[in-house]
Amino acid sequence: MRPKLMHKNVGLTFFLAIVFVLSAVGCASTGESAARKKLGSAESTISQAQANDATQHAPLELRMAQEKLAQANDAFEEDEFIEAQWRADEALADAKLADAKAETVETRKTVETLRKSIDDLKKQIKQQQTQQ
Amino acid sequence: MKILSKIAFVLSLGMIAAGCATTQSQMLKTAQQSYNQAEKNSAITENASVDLYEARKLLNRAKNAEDTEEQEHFAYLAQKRIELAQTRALQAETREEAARLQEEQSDFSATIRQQQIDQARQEAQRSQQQLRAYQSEEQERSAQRAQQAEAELERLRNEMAANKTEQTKEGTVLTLSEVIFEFNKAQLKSGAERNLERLSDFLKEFPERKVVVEGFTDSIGSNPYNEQLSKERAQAVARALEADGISSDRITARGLGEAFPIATNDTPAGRQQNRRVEITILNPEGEPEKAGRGN
Repeated sequence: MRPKLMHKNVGLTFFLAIVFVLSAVGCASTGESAARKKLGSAESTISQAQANDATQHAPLELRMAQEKLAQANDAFEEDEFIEAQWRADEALADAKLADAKAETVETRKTVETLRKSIDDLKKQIKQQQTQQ
Repeated sequence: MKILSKIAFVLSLGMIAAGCATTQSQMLKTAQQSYNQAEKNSAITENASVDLYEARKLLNRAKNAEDTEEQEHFAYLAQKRIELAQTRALQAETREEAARLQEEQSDFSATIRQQQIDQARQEAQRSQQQLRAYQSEEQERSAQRAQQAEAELERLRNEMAANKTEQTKEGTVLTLSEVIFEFNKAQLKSGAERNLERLSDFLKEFPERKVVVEGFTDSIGSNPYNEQLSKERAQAVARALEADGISSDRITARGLGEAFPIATNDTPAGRQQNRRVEITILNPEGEPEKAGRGN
């Protein structure tokens, strides 16, 4: 009995070792492609934010997104894929924020325009009343 | 001794394991505070619950991070996610406000339109009232004027040397005898012109009135001759009125010759009666084509 068990243990350990090595290698390549994907997401979201006038209405958030993206690209160049992923995720978060803030500025403008229009209408009503 | 060292070993392992995660960076503390506040904000929990949920997951990953770098990374993401939740909540509220203001604007616009409609209606009513008042004034005036004319006509009938006066449907008919003319001619005697002045005075005072002048003869002589003479006599009267300043489009002159005798042509007296001029002073709306005998 004993010799059989020992034989199994060795086989199992060897198998696990190979799996480990393979996954370690695999980890490196998926890290690179993951980083590439995340860089792409961050870039396109930054573009979207710029298209929504974030340059004017959320300049700080947009700037931070751009800086993080630059850091992510630098890390990617250095093959630091985990760091690149993280910086890219942070850039994405900033870009989404910039985009959302730019939208609120637009909506607030609409509110202001409506308020002014209502004021004008009220004045018009008063004027008309006194004319009667 | 072996057990003690084993325990010590396990303990120290635990401490090392715990130590990696316990030191909370400022970033994580800030993110946690932001999350706590956001949780209490009903606008956020209503409008950005997904973002809040994701933020919590990120916070947990930060707390379970193996080193400071990882912790700061996930704490940063958590903080940004919370800010995103706040922004989206604000956006939702602002949109609602915009929608409310839009409705308010519509209401005011409707009020203005209604006001304008009401005003227009009031003005229309005022105009109508004014028109009615004016119309009844006009009617008053017309009635007064008609009365005046009647009084004047009465005077005219009395003053003018007319053989006969008569009221017909078309107006007042004055019959003048042929003595106003020179014998067998269409020339008016001078006295007659003065007589006709009374008529022209009336016509000047009431410029809306028209006259029809018709000449008649007896049956002696040919038809063409009588028609011509009667026509020339009617025209002589017309010209006398025009000379007094009455415009010719108010005067219609006709020669009817032997037609329409008013007495017998068998006696001199009758024939003399037939030899006459009939002047119809038309009523205010009277039409010359319908007045007189020769219409």
